Amino acid sequence: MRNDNAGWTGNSIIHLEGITKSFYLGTDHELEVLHGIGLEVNDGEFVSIVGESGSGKSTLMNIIGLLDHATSGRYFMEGVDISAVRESALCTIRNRQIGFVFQTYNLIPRTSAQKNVEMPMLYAGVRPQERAERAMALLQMVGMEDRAKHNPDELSGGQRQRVAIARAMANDPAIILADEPTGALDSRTGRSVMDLFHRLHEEEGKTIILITHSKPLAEETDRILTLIDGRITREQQGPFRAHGVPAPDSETLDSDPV
Amino acid sequence: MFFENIKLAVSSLFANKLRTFLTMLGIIIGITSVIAIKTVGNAMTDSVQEQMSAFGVNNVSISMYPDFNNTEVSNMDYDSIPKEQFTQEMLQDMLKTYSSQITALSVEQFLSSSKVVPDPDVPEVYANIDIDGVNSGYFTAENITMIDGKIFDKNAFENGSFQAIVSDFFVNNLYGGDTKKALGKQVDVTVNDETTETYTIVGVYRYDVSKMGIGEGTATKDVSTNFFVPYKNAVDQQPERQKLGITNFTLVTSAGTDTMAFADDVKQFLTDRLQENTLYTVDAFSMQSMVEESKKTMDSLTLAITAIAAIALLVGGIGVMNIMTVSITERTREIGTRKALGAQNSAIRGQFITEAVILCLVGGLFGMIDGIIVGYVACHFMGYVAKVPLSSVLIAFGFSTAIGVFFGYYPASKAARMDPIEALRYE
Repeated sequence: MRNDNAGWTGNSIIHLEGITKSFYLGTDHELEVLHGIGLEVNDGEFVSIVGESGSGKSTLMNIIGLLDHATSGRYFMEGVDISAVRESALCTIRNRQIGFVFQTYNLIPRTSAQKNVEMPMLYAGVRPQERAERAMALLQMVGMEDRAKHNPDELSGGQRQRVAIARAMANDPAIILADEPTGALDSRTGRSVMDLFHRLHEEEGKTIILITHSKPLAEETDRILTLIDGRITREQQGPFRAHGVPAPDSETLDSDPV
Repeated sequence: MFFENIKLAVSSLFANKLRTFLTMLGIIIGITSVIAIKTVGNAMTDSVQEQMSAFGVNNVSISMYPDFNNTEVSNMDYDSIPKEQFTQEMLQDMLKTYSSQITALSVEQFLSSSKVVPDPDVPEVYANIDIDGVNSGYFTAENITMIDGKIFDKNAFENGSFQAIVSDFFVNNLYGGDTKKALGKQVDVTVNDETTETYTIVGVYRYDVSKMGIGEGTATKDVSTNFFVPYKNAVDQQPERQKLGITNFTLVTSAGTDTMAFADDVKQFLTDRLQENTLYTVDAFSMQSMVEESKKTMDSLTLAITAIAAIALLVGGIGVMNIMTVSITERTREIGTRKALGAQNSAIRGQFITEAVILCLVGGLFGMIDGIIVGYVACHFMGYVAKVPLSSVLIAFGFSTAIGVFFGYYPASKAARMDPIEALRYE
């Protein structure tokens, strides 16, 4: 691991320091949506970020996912200073180190589940046979092996999200970024998708960052960050599930001091 | 990656069959017209050249005629212009001077057209003929193929004997195709509807159908074929011709002679000999120069039509560009997803350029097939033998690939440069 920053000696996989993000809305209008975010995510941690819409959580997610650049502040991923990385290298990092799970699944239409799962491997230059084998193994892991040849429009929402999770795992990334993954699902399928994330976390040791506005789901994770108006206003440990304790209801969480 | 792009492109083109077809139509029409024009153009050029070389590309035709550019001549009554001819002396001189370039000298004197009916009681057995007096060089110059018998001997030429060499058509009409039966036969021929002369058949030549003229495919029983007689024989029967002498002849040049330059040399040589008679001018004309000329005409014609076809291709290409832009807008989210999952800009660009190229290549393939069919049909109706130029295959694939890359590049680059966040948010 590279560490060319004297001020940072931690072993966290994601390290954000004073991250701000402004959008230009015309000549003199500038809207700052993130005001100096500092965040540390350790390897193998399951972190959730909760916030109302407009709180800046999607913007934060885009910055963490290397889809967007911060206006100021510093970002280290696995010790690498992201601001010094070229655009094409960012693509490679996204491809190998990050698995995205979207609220709207974003499977490629008219393309089978298996081919969808193979896609990140395609961009990583994995050989066809190996791609196919790994895609089938991943589909089996998410319980979708018998739907491998189906196109997305032949799958239910829950099934699509399972395929999308298998796709996120394709290149065995260190980090899974899930943006409202259960947002479009009913509670029962949402539950099974959540269980899948817990399995990836516990069995595969993945670092998972979950964005949600559902407090009960957030409370299942190791740590809950609450984002309000572009600031992390609250940080709580939520080790309930890890210790086999059922999650407390949201009122309990809300009454906790920061 | 390359094969993946092809698979992706094919499946996306199949997803929108009608749109794909309509877009291809522009390319299909463009390529069809280019190839059809090329096929017809080649057939025309080949046909013209074939006909010309049948007349002998090594031949140089020389003639003299009153110089009508000369005001003295143009003011004269035609019949009062003093006659002039190439004298034997001039010709011998010329043959000596250019002995290494000249292999034969051919002269021809038409006598009369006639109809040979051997038995007046059987009027359906007949043959139409053109009686033509020729010298021995004529057979070389015109590339006459003898089937049976032989060319007149020296005596026959010198004495102007009543001997004849007839065509295979003539033999077919009168002797059921049996050349042996024809040889030695005596035929009565009416000359200029006045006198009847008896000729002995000494040889049979093959009538060259290709000399009949452009577009005439088949020769019928009625076709009038040459009935060759010794040059002197034809001249002897036309006393007025004897006074005129030789005013035109054909030279056969040896292989490797630059006939165009040779024609100029001979023209100058003979003009010098005629110097005392400024009323006449000499013209020397090589078949080669005519071939070159016709080739030039064909080429510029082909070029003009090709320019129009190129416009069709340009319009087709713009159609491809348009449809690629639409397709990319429709698939904005897909592009955003691909970029989020780590696709490099070059991979996205490659994907869409491949799609455009495949669209054009399939259009090019259909265009090639259509073009060959249209070319064949057109040639058939115009009476040419169609030959599909091999270059048409290269043109079809070369042009369509080039159009795909050229007109696909801009939309594909637009896709490659998309901001993934914007693209993922696109509804």
